[in-house]
Amino acid sequence: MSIPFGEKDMEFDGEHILEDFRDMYDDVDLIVIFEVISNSIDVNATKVELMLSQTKFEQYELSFLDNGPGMNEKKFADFQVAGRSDKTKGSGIGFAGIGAKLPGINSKISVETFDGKNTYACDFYIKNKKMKVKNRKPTEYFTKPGTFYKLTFSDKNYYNFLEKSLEPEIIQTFNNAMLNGLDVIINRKKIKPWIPSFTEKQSGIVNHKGRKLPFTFYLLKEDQHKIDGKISNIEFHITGKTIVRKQLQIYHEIKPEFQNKIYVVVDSLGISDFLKPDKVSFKPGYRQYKKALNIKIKEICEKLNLVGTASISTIVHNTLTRALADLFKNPEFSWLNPHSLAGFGIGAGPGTGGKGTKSSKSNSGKSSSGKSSSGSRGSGFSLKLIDAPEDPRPAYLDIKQNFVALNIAHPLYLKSENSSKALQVHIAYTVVEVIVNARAAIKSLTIQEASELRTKILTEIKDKLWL
Amino acid sequence: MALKQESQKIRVKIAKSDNKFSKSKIDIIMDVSNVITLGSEIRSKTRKFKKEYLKLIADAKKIASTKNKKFKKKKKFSSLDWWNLGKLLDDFNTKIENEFVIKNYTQAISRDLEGFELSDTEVGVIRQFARYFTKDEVLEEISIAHYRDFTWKRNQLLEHGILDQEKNRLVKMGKEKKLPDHKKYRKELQLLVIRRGGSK
Repeated sequence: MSIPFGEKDMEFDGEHILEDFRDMYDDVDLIVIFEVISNSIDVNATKVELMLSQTKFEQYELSFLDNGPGMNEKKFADFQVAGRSDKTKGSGIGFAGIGAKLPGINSKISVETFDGKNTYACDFYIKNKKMKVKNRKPTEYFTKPGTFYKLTFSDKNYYNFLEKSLEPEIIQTFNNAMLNGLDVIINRKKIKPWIPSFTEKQSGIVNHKGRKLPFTFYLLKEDQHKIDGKISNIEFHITGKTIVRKQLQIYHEIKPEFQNKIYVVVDSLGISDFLKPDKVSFKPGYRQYKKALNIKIKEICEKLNLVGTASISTIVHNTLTRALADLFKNPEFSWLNPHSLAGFGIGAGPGTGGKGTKSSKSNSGKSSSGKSSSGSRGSGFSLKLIDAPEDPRPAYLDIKQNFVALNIAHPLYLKSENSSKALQVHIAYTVVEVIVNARAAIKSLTIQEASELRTKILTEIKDKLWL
Repeated sequence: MALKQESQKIRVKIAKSDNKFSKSKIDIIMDVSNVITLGSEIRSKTRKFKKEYLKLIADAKKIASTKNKKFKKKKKFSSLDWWNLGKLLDDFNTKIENEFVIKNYTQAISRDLEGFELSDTEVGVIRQFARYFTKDEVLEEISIAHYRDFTWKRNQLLEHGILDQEKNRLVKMGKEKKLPDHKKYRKELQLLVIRRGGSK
């Protein structure tokens, strides 16, 4: 085959592009729903009515009707172009212009819109692995401006999922929009938003690098429920749609009885240009604003006396040493314990471990000072820090003096010390590496075996470690 | 950047460096909590501390040089020399104690003043000696053994309310050159404490 010289438009593989669009989203089942409601919010609609129904055998419909201004001919034509949107970054949530037009393989999206003068209609569907849009005569009758979306599908499981999850998912994602006045009606039933029941409420604005993040801080009466096993103290939302939920960075510094009662709602429109196309996460640039917000929240928590005495340093240290101490109790990993290597009993507290013997009484002798947690349990190790600028090693196991020495002058430590999370990761990786290396020689482990062991240990303790 | 500023002291241990990469003979070992709390500041603080400690050792070696068996012009190491050494060691700890807690100070001095065969107990005693007596009260006529015996009994003498009285007696006996040898003096102190204890 000969390829002719010259310029031409680059072709895209439509099937793969569609696949890629879908992969951008965290939850494919909810893409259209969230995108359509987001679009309604972006055009200042105050009401969205949803209808979920089975229309015939193995045929289901989910429709949306909003009371926005509708689309005129130009906007409707633009709407039919994937990736085109009249919205600009930083002005709302629906700037990518993709999500509301993404039908599944066995589904169809029908859109009809009335701008007060004219009604336009089209269908989006997939045929021969290509995405199609077909303009047609409207079938809906509008008495006032608005846009009507209808998703037609044949998957009964999806219908069952929507029947069960539509309401809670919408509350979870659009609660703030509903609190701000958006009416969402599902099958003629108005959805009630969750209204925080609190003992303390404070509003404020975080100003950082010329951007403003208005927020509301609540101290709830009851503990929040965990989502995916985690408490989300901070909700970042844009025009009422929740983008991302985060745990407080100082979560573990908060007194335990208040940790799950802190709830902060942040209007993130000021940083919406950091929004990723999936609209459920931000690009890394937003972190500085998150940090500024966390500092502000900490100030509030301190004034309200919600902060406990444990510093993050204690937490980092205790968490790591405790996680490893627990790991060493597991027969599979007990041979890794530096204690068994050196013949010393070792405490996890701030002091050094006690001198002992290799016998079962090995943890006797002078124990660590009071804070030692694992020392009393007869396992664990002690972590000490050393300032050794000439030493190229990030850490080493000092068998004579009975501790893992972490070099705080090492470039990797210097790079990570500004972030508690990064420091935690650095310390964990380094300590595990030192322990594994110390044993690798004795056990004659290959490089691959040692590497796999490190990964296994870190995987084993990850849930305890990275808070 | 410090994660959180706390007015807590930095707990350190002065260890002999077995580190083949280290140019220094000692390593300053820190607790994790201090390091993470203070952030990068910890490095400048401990480096300054290490420098001062090494200077202390150098100064102490100068004072103690005549005691060193390797010293050519060996002369009697007087009580005043001991007092100067004890004062130097004690002043260092006083100077740094607002900021640092050295968990093994006497052991570190005992180890690092190599060649002087001072046990860590002796290091502790000469520090106490320098603390309990002023320079004027340190006389050539009173041997370090007498001062050491007094220092060992100091707390009991204090407990019985006879510390100043006995100190004055010791200095007076020294000036008048009427001091018994230190073994006899130690016995006197023991009897004094026992009698006082019995009379109570």
